[in-house]
Amino acid sequence: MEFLIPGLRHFLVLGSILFALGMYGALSRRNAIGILLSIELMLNGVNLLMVAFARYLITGQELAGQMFAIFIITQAAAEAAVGLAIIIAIYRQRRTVQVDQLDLMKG
Amino acid sequence: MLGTTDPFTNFVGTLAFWVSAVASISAAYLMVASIRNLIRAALALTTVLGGVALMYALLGADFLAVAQLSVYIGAIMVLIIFAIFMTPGQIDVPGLVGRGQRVGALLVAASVGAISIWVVISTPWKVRDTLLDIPTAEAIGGLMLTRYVLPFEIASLLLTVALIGAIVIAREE
Repeated sequence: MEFLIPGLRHFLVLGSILFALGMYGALSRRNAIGILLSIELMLNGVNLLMVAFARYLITGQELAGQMFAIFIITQAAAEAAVGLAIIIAIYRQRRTVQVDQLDLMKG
Repeated sequence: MLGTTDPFTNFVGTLAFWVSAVASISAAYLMVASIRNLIRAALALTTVLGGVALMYALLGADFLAVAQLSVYIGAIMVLIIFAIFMTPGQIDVPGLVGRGQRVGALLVAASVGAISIWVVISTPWKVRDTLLDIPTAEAIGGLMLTRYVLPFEIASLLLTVALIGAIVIAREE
């Protein structure tokens, strides 16, 4: 039953699974807001890896991983704000947010 | 708080880890694979975000756990749900691409996930077992104004630019 006790690898595997699921969602959704949701999932998987490394690895600076995670959260907030604003602006012009109908630049 | 000497705390931590890990993975799977309705997908994502916040608490990152709750669940999810409501007629349309692209997406995501899992399992990490049992908020605040002051300032600039940009883009002419 030793493998049931969570260690570094448990958190790393969990983060990797969340990242892969988010990647599948980002590639297979048609709705732009759904793609944005999947990207948030990917960012969370990466953040979990950062914090797990900060907790378990022997480094000079124990909090570096947590600082990275904080900056990623900041960047995710900015990305969500700008991304949703763009989606709403597109919706106002084209009345759709399905990415396969937004082919204005297709030759 | 995993890794303390108290066996009861460790037991509760282990239990919390497994419950939350299973809940997060199933909610994430449902969100990307079977839920078509965007509001439900957003709620499933909220479950995942809460599970990740609990993981931060288990890893001893108390400040990050609170930041995850307030920024992600409190702010970003509300923003996303607002955006879903502001694009009516788009919630229930079949939300997935064609079969060919779905197979391709599955292939790419599965190989990325498999490679990543294989690497993290097979790497011999130098693991420190003792928990640094300190409140992290004070240390993080200190680091932000000393070693990480330049990224901190750039992040504030980024947030200002994003704020102004979002207003300008979404404003009606």
